[in-house]
Amino acid sequence: MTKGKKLENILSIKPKDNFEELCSGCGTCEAFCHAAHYDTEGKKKSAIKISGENFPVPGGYKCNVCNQCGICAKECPSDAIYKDKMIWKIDYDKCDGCSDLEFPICVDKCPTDSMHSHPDEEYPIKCDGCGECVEICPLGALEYKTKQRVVGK
Amino acid sequence: MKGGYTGKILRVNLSTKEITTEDLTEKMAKFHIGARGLATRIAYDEIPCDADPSGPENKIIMATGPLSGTRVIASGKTTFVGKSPQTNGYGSSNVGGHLAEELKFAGYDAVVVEGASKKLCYLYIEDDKVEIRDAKDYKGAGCISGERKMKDDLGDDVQIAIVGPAAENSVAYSCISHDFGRQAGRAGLGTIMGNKNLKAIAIKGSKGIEVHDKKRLDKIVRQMFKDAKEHPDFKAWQLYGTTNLVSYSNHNLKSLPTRNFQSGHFENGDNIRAEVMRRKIVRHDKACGVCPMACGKYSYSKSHNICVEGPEYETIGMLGSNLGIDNIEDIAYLNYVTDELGLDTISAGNVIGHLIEAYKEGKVTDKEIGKDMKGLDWGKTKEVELLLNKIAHKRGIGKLLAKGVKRVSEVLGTQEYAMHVKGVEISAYESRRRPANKLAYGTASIGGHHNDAWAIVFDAQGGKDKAEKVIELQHLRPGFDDLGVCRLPWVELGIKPELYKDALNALTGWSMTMDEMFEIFERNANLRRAFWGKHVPGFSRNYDNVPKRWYEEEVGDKKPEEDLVTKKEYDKLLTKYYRLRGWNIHSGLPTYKKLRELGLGFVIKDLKKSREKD
Repeated sequence: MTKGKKLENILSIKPKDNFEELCSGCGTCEAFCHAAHYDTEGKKKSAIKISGENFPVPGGYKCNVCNQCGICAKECPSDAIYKDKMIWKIDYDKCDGCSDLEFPICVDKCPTDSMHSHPDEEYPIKCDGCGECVEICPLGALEYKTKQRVVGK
Repeated sequence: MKGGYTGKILRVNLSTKEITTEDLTEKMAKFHIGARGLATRIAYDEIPCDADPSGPENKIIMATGPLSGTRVIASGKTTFVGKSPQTNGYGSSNVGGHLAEELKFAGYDAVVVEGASKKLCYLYIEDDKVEIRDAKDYKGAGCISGERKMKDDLGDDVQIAIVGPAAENSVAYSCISHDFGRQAGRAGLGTIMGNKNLKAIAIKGSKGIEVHDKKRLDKIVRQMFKDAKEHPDFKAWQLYGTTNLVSYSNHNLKSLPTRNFQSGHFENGDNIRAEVMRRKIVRHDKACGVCPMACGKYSYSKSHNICVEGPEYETIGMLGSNLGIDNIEDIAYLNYVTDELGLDTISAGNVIGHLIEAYKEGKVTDKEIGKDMKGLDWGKTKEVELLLNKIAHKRGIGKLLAKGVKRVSEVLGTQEYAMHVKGVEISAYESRRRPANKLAYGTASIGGHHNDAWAIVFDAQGGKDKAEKVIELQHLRPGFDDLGVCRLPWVELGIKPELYKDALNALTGWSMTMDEMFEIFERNANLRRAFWGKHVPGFSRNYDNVPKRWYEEEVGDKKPEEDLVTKKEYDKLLTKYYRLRGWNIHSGLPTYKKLRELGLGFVIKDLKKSREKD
């Protein structure tokens, strides 16, 4: 039945090309990311980060979110980062949070500063592509990077 | 407590350098909810009735609400409360941005700052680490450039409340600035920080906020965002923010303050309206925490080469039409200058408007305003800029102007057109033909401000039960302050108050009803009023008067269709308002019966003591 039907695979979440024009810095994406993955309300355990280091001149926000490049997986000494469809995820059975180091190696090596550690969390924080941020962003500043494939060929 | 609150209050004494924490009890939280209500209670209990607002006995309380920092829509509000240096009475002002969430992430519902430091200092809060630090490197720094410098030193993930040169120099209407252009602007709360030698409060937190019923909260917050996004006005709010009001206020309401409130219609108002501003200077939107409306507009003026957050409606009114200035880039520039100096744009525009009129009336001489000024007239940006600097640094005429319009008018003999209530300059809604809005200004808890009640559209639509409406608004609007959220999603996009109540219950595990919540709002309103009774001997209904100008015809305009609200009519309305509130119709203060009803019996002894001084 699905023969020839186009399906979209999410490759990653990305800020739109005109992100700087769109983002208002409200951090709603961060709040929903945090709440989707942890018991509390907050922003500090969000995998997506919005910052406004350019204020006051010229202003504008920037976004750090995982582009699923997989470098973390390559660098991980415990082979704890695996690919689920197109998204790199942490295997919490294998990950030990590099507890002997100040920062987990994956956090340290992430080329886009999109992996984070938090003092109260044993494991590093990584985007799992759930899409909460894209769906809630009130300015439509985020999107899915997708690849279309045709099933059955 | 199960959630919503952190349950901790931080107390910092700048005189003794003592830093302590105490518990916020569930009983107290349920009695006042939080943020503004809680800060008001602390201020009421702790600031002595004879405290000099500029002295170390005054306190400043910064407080968040149970909803602050959560996914509840626009949950980014912090309220500051203290004894106002402008009025000697109740002072309160709130600010958006990201301060509230950061304080809660650091683990505190509120911070009480008492005493005064000998040297300029700032408060650094990073979770459990709290330090009073030397601020000599930031002495004299502007609010915007000072915040940049502090973030360069401490990190961009630190949230900062800072005051400017105006507060350091004890100008009565100094504001507290945050996030490069948001302010707790009114009633001189920044002045209190300045007088305490407290340059800034810098906060960094790492924690989360506990939730009692996560699933339920999830449903509620998604409903709020859905309702907001589906509202027909949502897009316009994102595009224009409060500047949307400029045209409506100018043409429909006739309430855009023009030339010191001589009129409510500015003939060149179309030059400073929302669409013109968006096209000419807006670069991008700038929102407070978890707010989809993004009413903040970040602008760049090419002709002045400055960036500024704004101007928003109030600033366009007070530094634009109220001064006869019709160029949006000039208004943006004056907004920038005022923000950097740390003056409240509303009060500064009001005071300068008054001075220009007084000069044109011959009440101030060229010598008095200074040789560097080429006279004064409406629509002169350069002169306004000079005056702003004189005020912030208390130079020349600025020494007098720094005291606020009430004091200025008493010196110049220009009280008839001094646009203030209780010593706080009236904000940007000309209201001489708007009975409910006039009553709202007259009875507002800090003086001439629209935060507690804003009834001008109600008036324009011919609303009947005016006193009832003002009372309802004075409970519900500050109620959003008590919860620690912004009221605009409710006012402008119709997000139902019930949803906020549901969110409070989901967070805390309470089962509060709307009636119970309104009773708390009423209690908080009565406590605000009682603050005046405690601190101002001789407080009476006269304090609720509005300026004489608001009983007279507009200057130079055609006579509008609606009738003026006469003094007699206003007095009648005020009496009705007192009766409905259960307040004494002569003293304007809550009756003992009312206070007891609301659980505020402890106030009675203070009011009795204050009456003895009459």
